[in-house]
Amino acid sequence: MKPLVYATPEFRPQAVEEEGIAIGASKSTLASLITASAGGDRDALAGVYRLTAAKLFSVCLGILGSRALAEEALQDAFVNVWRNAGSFDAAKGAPMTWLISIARNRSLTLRGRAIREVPADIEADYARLEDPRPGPLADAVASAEARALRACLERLEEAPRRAVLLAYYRGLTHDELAREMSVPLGTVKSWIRRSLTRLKACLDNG
Amino acid sequence: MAKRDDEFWRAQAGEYVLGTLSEREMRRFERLRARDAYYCDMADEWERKFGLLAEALPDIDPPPELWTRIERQIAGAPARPSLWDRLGFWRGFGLSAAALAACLLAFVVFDQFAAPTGPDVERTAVLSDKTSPAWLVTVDSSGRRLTILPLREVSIPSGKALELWLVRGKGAAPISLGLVPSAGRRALALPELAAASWPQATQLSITLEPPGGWKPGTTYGPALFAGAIKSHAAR
Repeated sequence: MKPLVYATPEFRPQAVEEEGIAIGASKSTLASLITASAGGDRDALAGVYRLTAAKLFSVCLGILGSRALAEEALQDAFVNVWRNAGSFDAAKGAPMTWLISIARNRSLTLRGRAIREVPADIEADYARLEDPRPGPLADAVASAEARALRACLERLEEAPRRAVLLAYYRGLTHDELAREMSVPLGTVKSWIRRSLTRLKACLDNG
Repeated sequence: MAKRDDEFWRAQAGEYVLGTLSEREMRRFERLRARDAYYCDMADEWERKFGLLAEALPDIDPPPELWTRIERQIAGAPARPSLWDRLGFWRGFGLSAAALAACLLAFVVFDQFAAPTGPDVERTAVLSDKTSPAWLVTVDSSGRRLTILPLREVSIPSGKALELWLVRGKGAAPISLGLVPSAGRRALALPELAAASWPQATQLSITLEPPGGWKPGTTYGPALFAGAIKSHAAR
């Protein structure tokens, strides 16, 4: 596959677990920190940052390609977390999902404002889904769900699957996907639509 | 707005989460998501599913000074979040679970940089019709800036407009605050007369008027929504 222009990725191996973060720091710890931030506790926000910034930075970098843009997105995302922590409801959703959706949304917004150079190599990222290294926030349920997601993704044909993964990891739009994968726009659109329908059915039955 | 079939919107929600929509389509879906739990729940479900892809990514440390930049940027922010953002605020109005869906609040999250930062809210009102709450109005401490947020789908006969009124005690004519704008979280700059009238105001109401609003010399249109005004100490 012809890649987009490669940025020089500054990826490095999974960081060793940080000192000072309790092993087994759980979802509920993160949820409590977010709720405390809502009350104006800046130390609580610092706790959220310590636990999650590296993961969220990775998300932003994947979409934006450049460290400068990713830093801007991450900063904006945490300001959003601070301002809107009051809207997080632990009963409604997982804290990491909430944080990731904020970071991705901010990245997708900034995506439009700059010419991005993102590596189109997503194989390594996707491979991690099979063997996600447990970080301080991992739990058994998430691992089982990750395996189920991978199993359902594997049931898609290769090209539609690649389109879905490029879209999620790199934030490519329909037009960018069509260019990257050298197929007509209509093909990409139907790949995405059909894949979403099939994933939904597969995950519901899984 | 008629809901097209489930499958279409579920796919649209998935595309929104994936990021394949154009900027314009993204914003359009965001507005839908903010107003209706139907769309929001679908997006939330995809966020949950696809979020696993993100969780599996390797950690990459941002530069150490990034936290300092964040601290500096939030230093100006109020010690407590604005009324808009606190769950308790919403629950205090007794709004239904549907109106309280995470989506409604997600609107606050995702539109943070598009909209101006929350004012010191001084007055609020929930306007309802006979069935349920429909609008949330907030007025800042200056009395000049008003925002109005729909809490659910509101259908308006075509060729008509909604006009917002400040209602004072008996004998005093209501004051028009303008036409209710038709999209998103809408802001109105109020005329001086209106701003000066808040102390006497008892309720807000919305009437159905011809396009362009009520004309002097005609009768007012029917009042469709109304609610009492509550005052809150500005923080």
